[in-house]
Amino acid sequence: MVEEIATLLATLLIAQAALLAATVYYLGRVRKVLRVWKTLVEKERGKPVKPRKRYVVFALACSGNPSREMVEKHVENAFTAYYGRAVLAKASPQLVFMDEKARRGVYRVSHLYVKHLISLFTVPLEAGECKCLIIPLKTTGTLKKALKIMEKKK
Amino acid sequence: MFTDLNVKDCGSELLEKATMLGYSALACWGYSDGEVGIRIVGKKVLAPGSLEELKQTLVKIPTGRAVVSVSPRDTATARWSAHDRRVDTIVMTLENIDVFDKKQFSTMKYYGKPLEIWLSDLRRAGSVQLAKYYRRVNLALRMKIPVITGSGASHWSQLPHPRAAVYLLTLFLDFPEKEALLSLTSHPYSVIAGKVG
Repeated sequence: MVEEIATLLATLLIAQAALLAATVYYLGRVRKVLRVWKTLVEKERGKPVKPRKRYVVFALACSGNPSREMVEKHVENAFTAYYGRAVLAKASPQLVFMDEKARRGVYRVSHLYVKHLISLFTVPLEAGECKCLIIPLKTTGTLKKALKIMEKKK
Repeated sequence: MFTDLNVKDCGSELLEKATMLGYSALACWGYSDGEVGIRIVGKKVLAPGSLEELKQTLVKIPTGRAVVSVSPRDTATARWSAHDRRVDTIVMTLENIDVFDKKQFSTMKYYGKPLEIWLSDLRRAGSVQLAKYYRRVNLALRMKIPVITGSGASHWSQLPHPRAAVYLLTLFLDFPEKEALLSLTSHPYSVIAGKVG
């Protein structure tokens, strides 16, 4: 009898714990959905979205020695050719860090145009004898994290 | 399982870079055998001037060994290639855009023939050609024709990173992201799967 009551109590406790966990999980999901919905409503009302910075870590596979200026010029030209000057101005891609020896670098770009920047890595970098392939490694929200990833992947 | 269905010259350096980028299969115009940890099959791109020329060329190609793609220059060749079982894909380039109309896509859909496009064409297209190209690809996608993307790389530096290629397709040609991914993975792999490399 005592054993049966104990089993029943244990089952009840487990069921309650599971219910609590499920409620917490779904509340979290609901909060996330509400947040996305709020952003969408604000966007619909024409409220400008605050551009946030994103840092794209990339590596270069080259048959020559690429310079910082070469990469900067290539990305700017490709951006203008593919998406135009207006998008270039809005995206404002900037090569914030480049290790010419390790052939790695970090690009800073607006969060709305990360995909635009990465898509341009399909355009091969060719300058004279030097031919390069640009490989996107990771996108982060802070420069500190980007540099850490760059060091780690060396 | 990224697959590139159009690589012009598969040298050892290109294969090394393709492995690094995550490609698992390539269709090459020219390659040498060797253990590289990546599946390679041959590729034949036919650009016949007439239907008769296409028929004569197809007879000479052994079946099941290489991916056969046809870049038709006239409507009759395009329609024939759509229903010929020896043809694996039909290539749309900047030179033959006008061949691809609604009827051509209907035939391709009926016979389950995929449309192949090359990223190298996007790079050299002018604005008018690009507009035509965009409309055709969009029509093919709306008609649920499998679209395959090849790089057309002749040097390893022209090999695109798969993620970058997916973003380029979604932003430039308005591919749905899932469809862009399929055009680099399962659609081309299903063509290669039946071939003996």
